[in-house]
Formats: sequence, structure tokens, C-alpha cells
Amino acid sequence: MRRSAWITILGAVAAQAAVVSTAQAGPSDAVLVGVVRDASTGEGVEGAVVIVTGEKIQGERTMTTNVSGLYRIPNLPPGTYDVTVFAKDYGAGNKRTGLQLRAGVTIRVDVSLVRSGAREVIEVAVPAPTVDVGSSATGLSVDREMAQRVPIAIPTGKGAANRSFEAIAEATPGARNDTYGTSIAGTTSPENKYYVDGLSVNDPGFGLNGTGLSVEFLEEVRIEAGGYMPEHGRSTGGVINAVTKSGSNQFHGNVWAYYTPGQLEGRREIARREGDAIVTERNLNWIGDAGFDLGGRIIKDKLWFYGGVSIARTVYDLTSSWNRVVVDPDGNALIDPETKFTVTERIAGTTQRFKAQGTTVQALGKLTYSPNKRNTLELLAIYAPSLSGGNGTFGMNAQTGQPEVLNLIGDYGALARKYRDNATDLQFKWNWRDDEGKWNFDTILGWHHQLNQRNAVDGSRVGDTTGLAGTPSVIYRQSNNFYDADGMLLQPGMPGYREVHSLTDLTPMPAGAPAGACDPMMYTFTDPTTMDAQTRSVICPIRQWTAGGPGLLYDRRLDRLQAREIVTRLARGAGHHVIKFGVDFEYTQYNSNRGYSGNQIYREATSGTNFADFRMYSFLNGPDEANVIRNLNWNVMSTTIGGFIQDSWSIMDKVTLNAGLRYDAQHLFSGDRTLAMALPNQFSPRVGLIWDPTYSGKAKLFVNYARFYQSVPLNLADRAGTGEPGLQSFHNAIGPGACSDPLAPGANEPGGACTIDANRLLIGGPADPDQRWALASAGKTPIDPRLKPQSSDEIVAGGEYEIITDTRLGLQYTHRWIHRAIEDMSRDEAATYFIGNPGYGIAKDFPKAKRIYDAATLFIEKRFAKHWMITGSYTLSWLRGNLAGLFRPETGQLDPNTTSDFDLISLLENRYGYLPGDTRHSFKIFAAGEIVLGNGQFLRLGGAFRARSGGPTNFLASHVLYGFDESFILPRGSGERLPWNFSIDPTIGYTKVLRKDLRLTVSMDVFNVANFQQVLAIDERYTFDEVNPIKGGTAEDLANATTTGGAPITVNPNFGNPTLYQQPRQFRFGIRLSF
Amino acid sequence: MQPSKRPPIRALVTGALLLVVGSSCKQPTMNCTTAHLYYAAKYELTAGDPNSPCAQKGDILGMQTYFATGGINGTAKFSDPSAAIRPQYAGLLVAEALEYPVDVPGFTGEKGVEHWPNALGDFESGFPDDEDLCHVPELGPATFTRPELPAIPDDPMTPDVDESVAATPPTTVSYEWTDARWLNTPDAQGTQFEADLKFTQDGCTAEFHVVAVSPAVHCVTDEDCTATGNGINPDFAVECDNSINDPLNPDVADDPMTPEVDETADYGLCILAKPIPSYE
Repeated sequence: MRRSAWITILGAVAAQAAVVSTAQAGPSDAVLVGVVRDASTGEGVEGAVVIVTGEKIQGERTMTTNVSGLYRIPNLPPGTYDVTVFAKDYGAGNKRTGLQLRAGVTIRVDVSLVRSGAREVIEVAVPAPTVDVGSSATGLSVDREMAQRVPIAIPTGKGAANRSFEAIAEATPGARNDTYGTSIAGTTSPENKYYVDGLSVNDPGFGLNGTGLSVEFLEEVRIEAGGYMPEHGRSTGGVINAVTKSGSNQFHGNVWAYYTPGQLEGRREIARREGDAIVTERNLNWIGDAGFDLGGRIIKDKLWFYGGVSIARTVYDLTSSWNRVVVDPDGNALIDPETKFTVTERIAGTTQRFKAQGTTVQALGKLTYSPNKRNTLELLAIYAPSLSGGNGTFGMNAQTGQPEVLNLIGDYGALARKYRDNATDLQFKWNWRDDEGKWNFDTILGWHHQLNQRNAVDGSRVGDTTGLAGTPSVIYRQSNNFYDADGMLLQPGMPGYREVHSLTDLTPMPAGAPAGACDPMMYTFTDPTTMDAQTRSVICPIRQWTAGGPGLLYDRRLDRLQAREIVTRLARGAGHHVIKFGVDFEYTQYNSNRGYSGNQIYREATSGTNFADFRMYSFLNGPDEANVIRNLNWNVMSTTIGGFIQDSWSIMDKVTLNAGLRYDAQHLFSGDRTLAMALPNQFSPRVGLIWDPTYSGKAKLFVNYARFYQSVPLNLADRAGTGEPGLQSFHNAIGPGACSDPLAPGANEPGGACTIDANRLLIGGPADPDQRWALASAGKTPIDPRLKPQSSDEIVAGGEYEIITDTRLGLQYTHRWIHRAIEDMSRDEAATYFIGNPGYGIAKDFPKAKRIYDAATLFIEKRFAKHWMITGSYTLSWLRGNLAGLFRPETGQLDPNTTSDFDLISLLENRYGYLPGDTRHSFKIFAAGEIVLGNGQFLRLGGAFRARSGGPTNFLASHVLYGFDESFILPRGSGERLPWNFSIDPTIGYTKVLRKDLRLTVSMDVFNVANFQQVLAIDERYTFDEVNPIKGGTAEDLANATTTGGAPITVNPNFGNPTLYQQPRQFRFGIRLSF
Repeated sequence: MQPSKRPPIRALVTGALLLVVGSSCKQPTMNCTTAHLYYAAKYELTAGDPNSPCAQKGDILGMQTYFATGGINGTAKFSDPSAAIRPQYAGLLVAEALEYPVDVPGFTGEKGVEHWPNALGDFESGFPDDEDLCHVPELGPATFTRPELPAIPDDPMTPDVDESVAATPPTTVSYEWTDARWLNTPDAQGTQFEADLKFTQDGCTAEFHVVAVSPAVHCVTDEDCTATGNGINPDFAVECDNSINDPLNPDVADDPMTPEVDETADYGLCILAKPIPSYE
């Protein structure tokens, strides 16, 4: 290019920079656009050369402006860039430095040039605009600075050990942690779309995050809570995109280690409960991670690499001890007058210590190749194996990140399992762009693979006939009975008198305990409610005990293949357009091989007279001719094909209209390869309007409407769509030759006492073709022919203003509601089910599924610049409805689209109300700063503050078919609200620059520094009895309520008592060497 | 604008793919099945003496669907189903013998007696036909003879009570079901049933056209049949038939001790008001 001799730069009017759109090029890359104008005429300058340089790209990217002066440089990885503009007759050059580009945004930098004779390149530092005046998406972007400086990921819960990106999503305004991840905008975590570099890593079976990548490998985590464009779909929750780091021409790397010792944990409040002879305490032993990463060039300006390895480990201590009822010298059991709990004492020498532990390794490698200006190719591979349990330890539940057991009420081999959870991802991306920057093509291919195994602790696996996998699991649960049918008190020895099992009947006493400490003795127990004096003898009572094998074992293999092609076209016509369209194909597969150890789970009747086949895969091929299936192996799959078209139309540079349409069609297929469910015609319109009243990129007012459709995870095709055939029979446990103990040698073998027909009770009525067997479930669940896909609608509106440089203040309002839900329903009390849309189609007599979320959020965000940053939000929200989402928070049931929420007519009353995620007030503040100490030393300070008002509680009862906590006696949310809870998590660190580009940082994060021990959950089980909902009832109605059998209700002694307190104070120490 | 040659081709391919997305919009057809709860059946006499003892008005029927073995990975072959029908009337004859306080020669301890009342037959196909009906052309006759229930002598230990029971003579019943068909849609999963029945008991024969609905709901008035939550699909056209008597839920006579209240309840069963498919 020719550089003219007489040039000036008009610095003051030069840089008009604004973010014009979130219309992303690559799924996570940023785009730079702008117009080069002649300052005096305002006309676009044709043929000006725009050069972008930065450490994240090779050499430079150049683009020549078109006839209207427009340029567009796509596919810039998030980072800091310099932009230089040269134009014939306009001087030596105009350089903008320090442009910070975040993932997925389109930054606009307009340049006005004046004909001049200056000979130097003029340099202007341009703070990248913070107000995204082209987008109406709500959410949060957490960059590397924030992730490293603020202790966001708390050392507990899912993805805690390796500080995974989903743990960070909780920082989003209005988001909260739920059982399986992060709930965004009132939805449930399986509704989120989890991306790593734009490709979905959702668990194909259940919708959870399948690759919990550590934030150490990430450049940025971008959480879109709502208002997003049609290029994102298949999700009614949020979109969480993890953007991995890339290599550059300079070598950069980190070595880190973080450690949270359990010894420094604050005092834990122990939930006091009326209970059992076994009490288990769970304490953190330690949690930590260590790793390294490195990025750099292989061929300068052509080929770069990035890679790293992280290893994380979580260890919990589980300490159990035996306790016995305290009996005074007069033979009376002591009752605590305050709590009404039976007084118990710990038996010396009965303490048993176990560990629950898991290890996760993550390895990541990435190659970026840019052979020329037009092409960039990228290859990413992630391998993340996890192991937990076995060798005398308990496992960690990969779906929740918690130890698999709460209370050690059973044999080790029955309660513990060995888990293996692997995630593998392979991605290939190809970006092609033309020289003019008008066309941009992104081709993305990806494969996500998961292996999830649950094996017995002795290493035996599903289908094995020996070892623990060949041993049935047996649940002993005989109950007390001190009354006859007429309500008269029974005495020992009388017919019908029954006591719960004594612990010593089921398991030997730990060595070291005084002999006879649990021996039965006659004592009087005065029931605190009825004041009846009952005669009892068991002093180490245990209500439930599991022995034998580990029950359900599985080997699941899940795959997700994706292909996406996105075309971006920059156009002019009554303003500027960024038009994007694309196709998006996904194939998912779920191979689930599962079975019950020893073929089944036996469950003792509360009367102790028989054992039921509580869980057993089996079917009938003739009257009372049962076929047991040792392991059920289904391979189900789904295809989703979709596409979108969208236009981000910037009208007169003042108003942006985002409009688009997305279409998806999902088809699920059963284990027999036939269609299981068709979900076509998912038309999702999105339209938004953004107005910048300042015309300078400093403010915006916006409104957006969107419809979102939810993909159906494959669990539905596997369970409801293919079938889990099951039968039940009841084995007589009384008398000679009876099935008195299914674990007795040979009892579960063919011809054994628990498998012969002679011991099966005749349970059929006169009209039942089968007299010994009852059908628990059969084949596929039929689908309403008029089924519509699950969808939500959303309106967001708000405004933002850049109050000072790098800082924006905003207010936004979200209204989101379920339009249609997919659920299974039964009209005949669980005899037959169908899948439909509650309230529509053949389910029109069922109530409509509702979930209405309203939230107003006030937020401030100042990104890290000039040594400090702050992100804070206050959210006022309401969440009402009768469906929480893809899992049931009350019971933890994770069966997306087939939860028990609409199953039974008898349970439908009282379900509408404040949902578990209803949090009226929520404050979140994250701040960090550094003090320059001189001599290359920095003191880092920061922290997180959270405050949240308490959630709703309920009055729950049992249902005859569905068991505990399925019946809302009073309308949902009728209980007393939980209290507010607060946590303050400060951090302090010290950084020393050892030499150029080599710095050492040590840090200490303190979580819950004040050790607040506020109640997070209470026992909402009002009674163990079966009680039908009282329509529109109030607390006054409880006194007169009766069980379904007409008897008075026995209130659960633990009702309303705390079950969960805040995590105690924890310290996390970190060290990092970065270069 | 004049885009270069290559991008539009790739753009066109992408656009064309957008147009061909989506395929089947129909949900899968369900497998043939009988309902899992009891049926209330109306017997309409088509041949025989309406005054004979075997001219029953209706009954409660229990049904079950069985699947052949040999499916994928040891599971059932859902494409190969068969059905069983067991009338309560016949079931009670067996139950009476099963629960009889003394041994019944030729019955007690005999193998398979509990399955005597079951009539079995194969479905024509694993899937419903164009009218959403699943057919079993014939259900093998359920014919059995319940032996004599022996007389029970008086207990000499209780002189004030007479426990003696006279012997019940043997009885032979036979059920032959033909042209059995079930409505099979997600909305009516085998819950509407129609068939022809030839019933014989001890030489008396009657032929019926049987229409049945599941679940069996006892009623006094038609409103009882449309009450929410009784299990019957609210879209079905049903009515109360008080002429059918369920011996397990007998009619209640007025209590002369409470003259102010009329306890009379003429219990019947909710039956389909129309031939299947019987919808409002």
C-alpha cells in the first residue's frame, strides 16, 4: 500500500466503538466490524486497509473496506487486539490499541480519517465498549481474570473438585445451584445447553453437563440466560458456553495446585433427628486439584498448540456409630421434653470410619492451523476419566458430586459401588472467509462420548452371576405395631404385636463394643403424642437396613455426533445486516445395560411376613409364567436436524432489529429400532429490538421475545419408549421351608426357598388370570398422537448504561413461562400410562403444566481494568407452577419428561404453588482488586458475597403407590419459608513477578468466613402415612385430616426439623506459576 | 453485490439442507394390549333362554396380555402377544374351593387349579388395525369341572352353634370367546372391549354379545360413571347398568332401624353406552 505524505489524524472523533451484535461467527469467536469514513464528508472510504494484530492470532488479519467503507474481520478468538487503519491519501495510519474482545460478541469500531500530512502512526487506546448495543441476550460472561481472581466455584457440589465451568454459572444473576447443576431463570439444570467451544457436551441420556471441564483450561465462560438468538436452540434453560484457551506465537503456560483441607473446616451444625440406631456424620477430608497447561507455536504464524492436564480429588469422611435408647432405672425410655425425641446414647467402641472418594483426570489438547488468510482449522480433544468407590471406600455420585450415601444403614457391599465415569470429546472446526469479509463459513464436527459404569465394590459387573453382582439386595424394614385393629394397646406375645428389627439381628456388633450393649430388654416407651405406655424391648432399633448385593448396576455408553454449518453474510440495505443461517445435525445414542444384582431387590413387608420382588426385570409369557431378565440391554437413539436464519439489522446505527427463526425436528427411536417419539415442527421465532439512545454505544434499551424448545433426553426413549418390564410376587417368610431370608445360602438359586412358586403367595383376585404375579410395568408407554414438543416462551426487556469506562449498570426484567410440557400421565392410578402434553390433546382433563418465572434484576459490571473489577446483582423473582422442570427437586427424581408430577389423578391436587426454586431476593457481589506493592509485587484482594431469602416448604405425605413425599396435603409452598442465608467468601493473594513473563501467585480463599450455619432445608415429610391432598387446605385443616384409611395422621417427629445446613467455613489454598 | 463464486455454492447447499429437515410427524403406533385393571362387562343375550340360570346380565372380567419369549437381549417379543380372559363368576367358583375349610377331593393340592377359569388366545397381530382394534379371533375354551365341595360336619365342641355345611354338588362351566377385539390407542389402551361369548354351565347354554370397559366402576346412577378420578376416561360414553349385580358388591337394602334415612342402593356397573369405540 502507498502511504501518502500529508496526513493528519482526527483523534477526537476517530473511534466510535460499539458492540453491534452477538451474532457470533464461530460459536465463541468475536467479530470486529466497522466503517472507515472521511471525517469531513462522512462518506465511507473505499479501499482502506484494516489490520488486526493480537497474541491470539497468527501475524495479522487484514481486510479492505468496501465501497461504503465497511470492513468485517470475523473469527477472532477472545483476547486483546490492536487495529491499524491505512488509507490512500489519509496519512501514515491510525492505530487503536487494547481492544478487548469477549467470546461471541461483535465489536464495532468506526474510524474517521482526515486528509493530512502526518508521518507517524497515531496510537489511540480504545476501551472496548461494555454495552452490547446489538444484543438483547441476558446473562453473564466470566473471563479468565474473574474466574481466577474471585472464588466463585465453591468447594462442594457438582464439579467442585476441578472447579468446572458449570459451577461458575451460578454467578449469573437469578441463577442458583440445584441438585444436578445450575438452575438458570427458574428452570432446572438439565434444561441448560452446555457447550465446549460451541459443541454440545450435554449428557445425551439425562441432559446434564457431560464434560465438566476445569476453568483452568478456559478463556471465558459465557452464560446466556435468556433473550438469545435462533442460532441457539434445543434448550428451555440457559446456554452455557465454555471457550477453551488457544495457543499463540508466544509460549504461555500455568502450573497450579489448589487444596481445601477438611481439618480447617468450621464447626458443622448437625441435624438432630428422631431416628435410628445408626448415626452417620459426613465431613470433608480434603478436596483439591493440580495441573498444568501450555500453549505456543509449532510453526510461527501457521500452527499453534494448547494443552494441559488437571487432576482433581475429593475425599469425604463418613463416620458411623451405634446408638441405643436410654432407659432409666425404672425401665422407662427417656424422651427429650423439648424436641420430643427419644434420648439415645452412643455405644462406645462402635464407631466405624469410611471414606467416600473420587478422582478425576482431565486432559485437553488443541491444535490451531491457519495455512492462509482464508482458512483456520482447529482440532480439540478432551479426555476426562473419573474413578470412585471400591476398596473399602464409597463412591461419589457423578450426577450430583456428592457421596453416594447419606446414612450407613446397610452392609458395605450393599450400599457402596464402584463408579467409572469417562467423558471424551473430539472436535474439528474449519473456518473459511473470503477476502472481502462478506462471507464467512464455519463447519464444525464433533463427537461427545460418555461411559458411565456402576459396578459392585468387589469389581463384579452388571450381568455377572458371581460375587456381589450375583447377590440380591435385600431391604429389611419391619415396623412397630403396638395396636390391634380396634386401637387397643398390645402387649408382647399377643398376636399382631411387632417391633422393628434390632440392629444386632441384621449385622454383627463392631468388635470393641461392650458385649450385650444392644441386647433386648423390656422397657416402657411413653408415646409423646398419645401418652400411651407401650411395652418395647428393642433398644437398638433400625427402621431400614439393606444387605446383600448393591442393587442396580449399569454400564451406560452415550454418544453424541454433531455437524454444524453456519454461514454469515454481511450486507447493506437500509442499514447494515449481519445475516446468518445454518444447519445443525445431531445424532445421539444411549446404550444402557443394567440389571439388579442377583436379579432383583427383595423388600421385606412392614409386617415381616413376606418379601416382595421390589425390583426385578421380568415379564410374563403365560399365566403365572414369569421370565426373569438378568440384565436389560437397550440401545436407543435420536436424530435432531434443525436450521436457523437470523438477521441482525442495524438501522441508521441507532436501532438494531434482531429477527430470526429456528426450526428443529427431533425423532427418538426405541431399543427395537422403531420410532419412539416424533417431535417435528419446532418453530422458534425470536425477535428483539435494541435502541441506543446515546447513539454512541454507551446505553441501550431493549425488548425481546423468544420461544425455546427443549430436546428430549434419551432416558425417555430408553425407559418409557422401550419399556422396563417388571413383575412382583410376594414370598412367604413364615413357617418351615419358607423364604425367611433371601440371603440364606441357595435361597435365591433356582429351586431355592425364594424362587419356588410354592412360597409365592396367592395374591390374585377371583378375576385375575395371574394368581401369583402382579405386573409392575410392561412395554412401551403410548404417545398422544397430537403430542407437541416441550417449549417455553420468554419476554425480556431492560436497559443498560455505561456509567463510567468499563462499567455498566443495568436493569432487566424477565418473564418466562412453560407453553407445553411433555409428561407421562395415568388416568387409572398407575395401571396404564401415556405420554402427552398435560392439559392438551388426550390429556385435556389433566391440569396444564405451568411454570411462570418473573424476575427483575439490577446489576453492575465492571470488568478487570485498572487493577479492579466488580460484578454485582440483585434479583427479585417469583417462580410459581406445578412443574419444576426435567427433574423433581422434592425427591431428586431425574427422569426428564417422565417425572411423577402428573402421573396420578389422586396426586394432582395442590400441586400449583411456589416451586422449590422460588427465591424472592437474591444478592450476588463478586469483586477483586490488586494493590501494586512495587518491585513486581501485587497484593490481591477480593471475594464473593451472596445473600438469598429462603425458599418455600411443603406438607408432604405418602401415596399408596408412589411412596413417600408424593402427596401435597396442602397447596404447594404452604409451609413456612426457610430463613435467609448469607455467605461471605473473601480471598487474599500475593503475586510476585519473578522475571519477565514469569509470575508466582499464592492465594487463600475462605468460603463462608463467618461460618454461618443457616438452615437450607427442612424435613417436609409431614407424615409417613398415606394421606390424600386436601384441596386448597390450610394449616388448620391438618388437625382434622385423616389417612386414606380414615385413621388419624401420625405426624413425623422430624417434620420441620432442619435436614441441611450451610456448608461450614472452608479454606482453599492455591499456588500458581504462570508464564 | 458480487460475491465470489465459491461462497454461494456452499451457501446454497446449507440453505437446501435447511429445506429438507424434518421427516415423520406421526407418533408411533402402540403395541396391542389388554387393560391392566378389571373390566365391567355387559352381556347381551343373542341366543338362549333369557329366563335360564345361565342368562347372565354381565360380569367383571380380568384380562392379561402375555408376550412370547425371544425378544431382543432376552426380553419379550412385543410383536407376539396373547391374551387371557377370566370372568369373576368362574374365578369365584375356584376361589370358593381354594378357600374351602376342608380338603376338596380332586381339587385341593391339584396343580394349576387356580388357572382353570382362564381362556387364552393369540392376537392376530402385535399392532392394531386401521380402526385401532386388536383382534383375538378365538380364546381357547375355559372349561372345568369343580368337584363336589364336601359336607362339613358340626363341631361337637361348640354345642350352641351349628357349623355344619351341606355338600355342594360338582359344577361344570365353559367359556368360549370369539371375535374378541380391543380398542388400542394411547387414549384407550385396551380399555374398550367387545366379543362374542358362548357360556355353558351344567347343560344350560347362552350366547352373548359382550361389551366391556375398564376399569370396572360400581355405580348407582349415571353420574357415578362420569365422576372425576374414577379411572374411566372422561371422554368415554358410559352409563350405569343397575341390572348387573356384582356378588362382591351387593345391593344395600333400607335399614328399618333408621326410618329417616333411605340406605337403599341398587349397585350396578358402569358400562359402555355405545358399541366400541364408545366416545361422547
